[in-house]
Amino acid sequence: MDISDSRKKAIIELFESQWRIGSDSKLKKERVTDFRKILTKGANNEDN
Amino acid sequence: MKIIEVTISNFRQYHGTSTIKLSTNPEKNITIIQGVNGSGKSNFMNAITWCLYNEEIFKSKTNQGRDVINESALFDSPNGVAETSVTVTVGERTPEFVFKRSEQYRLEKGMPFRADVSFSCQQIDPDKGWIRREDPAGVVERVFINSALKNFFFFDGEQMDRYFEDTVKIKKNVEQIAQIGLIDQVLNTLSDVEASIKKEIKTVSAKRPEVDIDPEDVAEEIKTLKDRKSNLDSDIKILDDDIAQIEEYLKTNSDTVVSELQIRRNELERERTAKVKDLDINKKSLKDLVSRYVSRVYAYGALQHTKNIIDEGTKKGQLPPNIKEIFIRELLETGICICGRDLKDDEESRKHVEALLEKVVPNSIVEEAETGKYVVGELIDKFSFSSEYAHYQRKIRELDGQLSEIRDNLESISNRLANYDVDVIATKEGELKSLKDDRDKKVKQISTIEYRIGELNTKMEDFDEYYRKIQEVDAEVKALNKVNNYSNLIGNDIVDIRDSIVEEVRKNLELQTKQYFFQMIWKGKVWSDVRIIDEGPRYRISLLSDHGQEALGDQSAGEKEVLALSFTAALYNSSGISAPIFIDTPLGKISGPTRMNIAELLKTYLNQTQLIILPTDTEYTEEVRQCLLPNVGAEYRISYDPELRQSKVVDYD
Repeated sequence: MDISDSRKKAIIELFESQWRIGSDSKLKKERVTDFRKILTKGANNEDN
Repeated sequence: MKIIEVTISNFRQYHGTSTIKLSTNPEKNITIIQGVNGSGKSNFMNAITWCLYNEEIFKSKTNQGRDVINESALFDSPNGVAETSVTVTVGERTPEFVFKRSEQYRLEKGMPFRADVSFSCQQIDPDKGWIRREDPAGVVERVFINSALKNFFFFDGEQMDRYFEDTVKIKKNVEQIAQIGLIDQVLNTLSDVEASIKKEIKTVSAKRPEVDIDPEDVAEEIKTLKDRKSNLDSDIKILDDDIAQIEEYLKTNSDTVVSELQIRRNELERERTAKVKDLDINKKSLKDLVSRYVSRVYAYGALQHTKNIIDEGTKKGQLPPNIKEIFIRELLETGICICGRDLKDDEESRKHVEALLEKVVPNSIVEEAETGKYVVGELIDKFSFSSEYAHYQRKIRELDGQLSEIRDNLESISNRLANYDVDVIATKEGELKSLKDDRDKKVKQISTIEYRIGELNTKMEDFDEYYRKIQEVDAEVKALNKVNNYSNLIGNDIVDIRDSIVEEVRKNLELQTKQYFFQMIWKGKVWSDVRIIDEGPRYRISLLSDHGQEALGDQSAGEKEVLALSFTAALYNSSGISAPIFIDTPLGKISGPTRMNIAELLKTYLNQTQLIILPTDTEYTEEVRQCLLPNVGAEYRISYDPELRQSKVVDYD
C-alpha cells in the first residue's frame, strides 16, 4: 500500500480524533469539525 | 475471562437455587456437566446467555412462548409470587464481575405475570470493594464475549450440519475479530464530513453573482469608442482650421461691413463661451444646493412652526416675561417693594406680590425658551435655501435669456452674410455654416461617445466588484473541493487498510483452521485443503477432497464436528478473546472409535481455554471419561426428576 507520510499522519490523527470523541450520535458535529480541521491541514501539507 | 460460578434460581426446569462452580484451573481446564437427554443441558447454557445477553441461545419447542420462571416455584408459592434469576460470576482467577438478571412473577388469574425485570453488574474495585456498574450490557460486550461472536463460543454438537450455513455472519465475525469497529467509525465520520462539505459547497456557490456582461466585450467596445472619439477629435481639429481660415478671410475682408460683422460675431462667440461657462457654474451650484439642503427641506416646516409659537409668546408678553421670578423672590426676601411698601408688615401688599409669583413663568422655562428661540432663529436664518435657490434660478434664467439673445444675433449675422450680395462672401458663409454644422454634429457625437464610455466604465467597475466576489466564491469552493478530494483519498487509504487487516485475519483464520483440521482429523489423506473463501459480502468455508473437489457436506458427523471445532479453535486463537467455550453434546452424532478421537482432540486442542462440556450419559462413557479426566477440574451431573420435571445440578459422584 503506497501511502505518503503526510497521509499516514493525517490518518493517525483521524483515528485519534474518533477515539477521543467517540461514536455517540450527539457528538457528530464535533467529530465532523475536528475531522475537517485535520483534513484541511493534511490537504495543505500534501501541496507542500 | 473465565466463568467462575453460575447460580441458577427457578429458571426453566431448574427448581430452587443451584450454584455451579466451574473449573478455572489452567491445568484442569475442563468442566463436565453430564445429563440425560432433556435433563436441561441446553437450558443450563440458555441460563448463562439469558443472564448475559437476555437471549436463550438454544431455541427449543418446549421453551417457545413460555416464561423463564420455573412454574412449580410460582404455582407452589404461598403468596403467588416468585423470582427467577441467574447470576454469572466472571474473572481471570478471582471474581471481578458479577452479572445478575432477574424477573419477578406473580400469579394473575392463574397465569404467570411478569411484574419486574432487572439486570445488574457489580465490579470489584481494589479500594472500594464491590461497586455497581451503570451499563451492564456494555460491560458484557467489552469484558466478556461480544454478542456477535457468542454463537461460536456456545457450541451445539447436534447442530453441526448448520454450523457453516450462515456464512455472511462468519464474515462479520471475522471483521469483529479484526477489531475494525474503529475503522468503520472513522469511515462513517468521513462520509459525514463529505456530506457536510457538499452542503457547504452548495451554500457558498449560491453566493456567486450572476454576471451578464463579458468584460472583454466591454473593454473592446470602450477601445472602439475611444478610437472613434480620437478620429472625431482629429476631424474637429481640421474643421476648426478650415473655420478659422474662413473667419480670418471674412475678418480681414476689404469690405468693412463683412469684416465688422465677422469681428462682431467673434465677440459674440467669446461672450457666448463665457456665458455658457457661467451657466454651467450656476447649474452646478444649484445642484449642490439642492443636495446640501435636501434633508433640511423636510424639517423646515417644523422649524417655522416652532418659531411662530415663540414669536406669538413674545408678542403676548409671555416671552421673555416682563417680571422675572428671581426679581419677585428678591422683593419678598428683602421685605421692601419697589414702591417702598413694607412687605413684611403690610400683609395685603405681600399677598399681592406673592400672587405675582404664581403668574410668572419659572426661571428654568424662561431660560429654555430663550435658548430655544435663539437656536430656532439661528437655524431659520441659516436656512437660506429658498433665497439661494431663487438666486441661482434667476441667474440661470438670465443667462439662458442672454444666450438666446446671443444666438439670435449670431444667426442674424450668419443670415446677413449668407445672403450678402457679393457671391464669394455668401459662398464663404455657406461653407462656414456647413463646417460649423458638421463640427457641432461631431461634438455631439463625441458627447454621446463620452457618455457611453462613462456608462461602460461604470459597468466595468461593477464587474470588478462582481469579479472580486466571484473569485472569492470560486476560491472557497476550490478549497472545499480540495478537502473533499483529500477526504476521498484518505477514505480509500483507510478502506485499503481495513481490507488488508480483514484479509490478514482471514488468512490467519484459514491457516489455523486448516492446521487444526489436519492435526485433528484421523483420515487426513482423504482431504486436501480447507479454505475460507472471500465472496464479497460472505465467507464460504470450503473443504476439498483429495481430488480437489468441493466436499463440504459430504463428510461424516465426526468429520463435520472436527471441522467446526477446528474453526472454533482458530477463531478462539485469532480473536484474542479470552472466554470459555461451551460444547453441548459434543459426541451426540458420533459413534464408535471416532468418539475417542474427538474426546482426545477436545482435551488436546482446546487446552488453553476454559472448556465446559455437556455430554449425555451415553456420550460420557467410562472410556471417554477416563480419557478426559486428567484435564477435568469439576464434574457435575444434572439430576432430573421426570415426574416433577425438575432439574438440579449435583456433584457427579
